[in-house]
Amino acid sequence: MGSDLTLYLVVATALAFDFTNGFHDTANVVATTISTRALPPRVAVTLAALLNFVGAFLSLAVAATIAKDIVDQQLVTTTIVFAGLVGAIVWNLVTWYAGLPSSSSHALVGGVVGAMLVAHGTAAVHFDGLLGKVLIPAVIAPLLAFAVAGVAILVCYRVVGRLAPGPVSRGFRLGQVLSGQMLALAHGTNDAQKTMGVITLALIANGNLGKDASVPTWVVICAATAIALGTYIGGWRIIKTMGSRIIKMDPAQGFAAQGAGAATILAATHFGYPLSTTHVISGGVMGAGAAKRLSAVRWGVAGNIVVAWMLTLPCAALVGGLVYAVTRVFGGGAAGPVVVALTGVGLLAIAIARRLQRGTAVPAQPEGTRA
Amino acid sequence: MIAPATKIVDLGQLVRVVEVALVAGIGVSLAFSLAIRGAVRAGEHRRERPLRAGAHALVAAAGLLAVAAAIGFGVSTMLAK
Repeated sequence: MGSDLTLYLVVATALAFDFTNGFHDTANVVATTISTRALPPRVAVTLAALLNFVGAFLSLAVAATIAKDIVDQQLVTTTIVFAGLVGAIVWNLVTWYAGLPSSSSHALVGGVVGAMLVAHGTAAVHFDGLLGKVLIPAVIAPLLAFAVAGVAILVCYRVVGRLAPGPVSRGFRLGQVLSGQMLALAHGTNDAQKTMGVITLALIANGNLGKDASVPTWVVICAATAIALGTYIGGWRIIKTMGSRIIKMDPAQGFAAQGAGAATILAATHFGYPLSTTHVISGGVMGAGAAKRLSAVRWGVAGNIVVAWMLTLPCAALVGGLVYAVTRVFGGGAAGPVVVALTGVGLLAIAIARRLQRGTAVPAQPEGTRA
Repeated sequence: MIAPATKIVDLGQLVRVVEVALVAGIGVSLAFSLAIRGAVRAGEHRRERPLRAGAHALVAAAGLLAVAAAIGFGVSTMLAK
């Protein structure tokens, strides 16, 4: 058995990461539903949180990919997982501050890979799994959602084009209630599983679970609760600030975008691909917009996503590796992770105190910037 | 060493993801659009042409059933694995 203190730190950090994932992603999941007035904001956020929770129980294929296909399980330690998580959180905070639309999912994978590289070198990383299960699907999935949403909206317009717009809009608003909930379900199942995978990896590394063990039920429940709580609490901030930031779409576009996003995420989740859900949803929204009018798409956001694709994995890996190196300065026990955790909490407390002193709200997360 | 590209990427799985997303995303949109079209047309013809209204109502019901079936199938497939 390894250090239980480090394991506790890993579990707490992973759940905090999961919470922030839900917090940031609420905008992506509910924005379209709210902007077309398919549902009142309170109802949309509450339903999204509930469906996020339920979605986490649907599948464990992505968790298995994170736990088994990316790094060598036998060489993983709880300190490596901790360093990877801190690397992902730090990179997420940096990109959030800089307004770069990064993916939490890619940051998590990058952080763990970076810490593993520093600890054991290239032999400890499954580069084939990284490429085949993470990088290639990361490129394909948003393009797929873009194409599906684009064709879907053209089909919708073709079928209902000559009808009175009033009843058609009411119909698609009803449809959005359904497609929005499917999107929340898909988001919950793909994103919560990443945390489950990381916690399982740490439990295996610490000797609490066998090499081929499946994800324990308590891990599933904790991850589901953390992402649902994050979604619920994050939603209230979105409601307050949504007026100026939500893309204007008609209900048919919202339905097509959400349906395309949900279909892509659920299909990929079934085969264990850990996607950036934000990139997929953004792809769907852009596809539905581009099919109607090319200028409706925020091509600047699309460009930022491409930049984020290229930067997130290597930069999170760099931070993860650096954090691991810092923990090693304090020896092989729990001292290093404890010092890093205390430093992180201290810096966070100072940042919050400064914000409060200045009397300004924390800047809102731009829509479509997290996964 | 990195394995050859064909071994790294499970092309069959990726193609399956593309197929499922295309069929589900576009199919559900088509079915739901037909349901809306059927419902709207049924409302328009309700008084003057009740038979035609009935046919449109059937199309609407079939569209909704197809959407429900697609969602049910998708969720049950996820749970079955």
